[in-house]
Amino acid sequence: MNSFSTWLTGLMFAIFAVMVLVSLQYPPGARFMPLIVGIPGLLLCALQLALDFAKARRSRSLDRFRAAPKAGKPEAAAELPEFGQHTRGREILMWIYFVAFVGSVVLFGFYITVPIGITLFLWTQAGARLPVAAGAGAAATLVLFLMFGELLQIRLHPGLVAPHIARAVGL
Amino acid sequence: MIETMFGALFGLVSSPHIMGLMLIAVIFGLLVGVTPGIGGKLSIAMAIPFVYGMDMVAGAVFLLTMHAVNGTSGQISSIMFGIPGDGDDAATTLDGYPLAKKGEAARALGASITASGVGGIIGAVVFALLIPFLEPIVLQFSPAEFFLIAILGISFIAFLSSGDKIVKGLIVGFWGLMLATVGMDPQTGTARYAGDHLFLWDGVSLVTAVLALFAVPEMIALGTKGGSISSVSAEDKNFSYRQLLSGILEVPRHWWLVLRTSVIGAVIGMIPGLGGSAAAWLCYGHAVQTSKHPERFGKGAIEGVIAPETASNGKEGGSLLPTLFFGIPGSSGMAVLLGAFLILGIQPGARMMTDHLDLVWTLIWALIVGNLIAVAILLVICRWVAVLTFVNGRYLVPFILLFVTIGCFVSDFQWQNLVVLVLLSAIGYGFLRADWPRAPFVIGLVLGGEAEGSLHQALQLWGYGFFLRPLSLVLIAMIVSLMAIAVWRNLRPRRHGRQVGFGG
Repeated sequence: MNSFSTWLTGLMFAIFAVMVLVSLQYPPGARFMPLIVGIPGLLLCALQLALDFAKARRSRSLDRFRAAPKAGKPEAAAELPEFGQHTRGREILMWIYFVAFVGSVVLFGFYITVPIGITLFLWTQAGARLPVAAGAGAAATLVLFLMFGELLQIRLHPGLVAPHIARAVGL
Repeated sequence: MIETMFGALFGLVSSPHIMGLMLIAVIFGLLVGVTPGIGGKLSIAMAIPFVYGMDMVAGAVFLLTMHAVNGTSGQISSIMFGIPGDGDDAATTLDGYPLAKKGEAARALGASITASGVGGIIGAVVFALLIPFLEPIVLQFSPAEFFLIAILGISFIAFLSSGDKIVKGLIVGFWGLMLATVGMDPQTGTARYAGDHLFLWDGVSLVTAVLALFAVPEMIALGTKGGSISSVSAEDKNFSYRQLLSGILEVPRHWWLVLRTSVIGAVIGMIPGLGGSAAAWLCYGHAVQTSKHPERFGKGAIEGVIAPETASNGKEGGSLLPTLFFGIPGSSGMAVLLGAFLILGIQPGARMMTDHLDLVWTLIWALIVGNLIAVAILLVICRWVAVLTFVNGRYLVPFILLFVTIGCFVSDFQWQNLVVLVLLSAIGYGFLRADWPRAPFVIGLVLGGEAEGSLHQALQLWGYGFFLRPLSLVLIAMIVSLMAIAVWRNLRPRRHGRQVGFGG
């Protein structure tokens, strides 16, 4: 059984269940669509869970009868899957970087986050030399400013905290 | 019809603004097509912020052109290094790489690039030829059928794109439909699932959802895996422009094969969920079967390069048909494109046929002109474009993230969308890791509002009896059949050795 997939099904079941329960407090017209979608969604999750458990039971019973490797015949070297235990560290690191980047944009805005975020990633994760990474970060910020600030006249998010800090230090 | 058709062409080629945008889209599409880790879906998702403020036609032409030429450059690494950029190009590798090893890389590239361009053009022509036949059928559809088509679209995509994972695909699709209910209810004015968060009153941002489900998971996977497509050295493959020309001439020499495989590709493209890989492999098999010398295939037969390339690009024209007229994307790339079309104010459905036929024709011409430009550019620069396959994917991650966060913010100018992005990305990455299909989500989210409106209209017109209309019964029967097959596929005992893929 792919336990991660089963956990994901469980999570989807919970999401559907919460949304269906919340929809019950809405007027009949407003809850009609959430119910017509949510209840089948719940049933589908239940069906998928049942299928996963049935598959797991079947594979357990098959495992019992599976022949042992033949004596003297070396087992072929197993190819590593795309994701697994060997990629967990990098996955966690990527998630930390992603959440930190987005969090930093929310708090400090694009123009502070972009040069720092790009430089740090290229230097620490992609193996670029620090001057190259810093140059790429600065260039990206410049392009960002020229494209959105000057050409398209779009005011990018300044950050929730950065303007207060700037005011406090008299900028 | 003829007036609209040529009016659209004139409007396209006489506008320096649109032609300039097409040129940018072609160059960008070709570059991302050959760059490791950036597929068609990701490139469209990243380009969405740049179409803000553009008018409907310019934005749609820009995105469609980029999407259409994306696959044209993908075969370069298949031929030069024997490493396919994605599933679509795997069939090309079988004969393209042996040709390169024989010192005929330029011939193979000339044939494949030209075949790809011609396939794209024929695919667009097939779509254009079907419009007069399709019009009466599309106009038969009432709100009842449109609601059921939304459900059928999700079932179909989930079923065809993932075989025995249809239940998972349906869960993802229904979740998309569920998220489409977030925000102000059009009937009662109740703010559903939004509470006091005003930014949610207009619903979940489509751009944010698309980026979270497609772009962020791919970016994290790219950062996790790292590396480049090609790790082999760029040895000299005796590239010469004389060979390239001889490759180009192979396409008119095999015109009958080109025509057949392009049409097959376009027809496969019309079936939602059957992607470019299916078209490419099917047409490769067709080329082998119909050849007088099938023993040459796999050893460097030029037909083995031409057939999959025409098919995989020919399907783009075909897949535009269900996307525009039924709101059911023909592929996951089209699903993202459909989301982008909605952002531009293009509402797929029967009204495309009656109110926006000029736009439909403009898009068809964009496919044709875009492919012509792409072929012309790529034939000149293909030798150097191959270098991009050596780029380490990790170098791209922070720049992709930059595009993603800007796109997410600019979609509504709400910083809260960035928080939603992180939350939805966690689920999107879960789908990627567990190998669940993600395209049904976009269809659910995109069609959710339309489906709800259609459902209320159908209930007002016919009450619950709308389920008993003849066309509704046909659609319900199709949905139930798909479900039954899904359960059977999941429960039947598997025979060993059945998983052997087409490519062996």
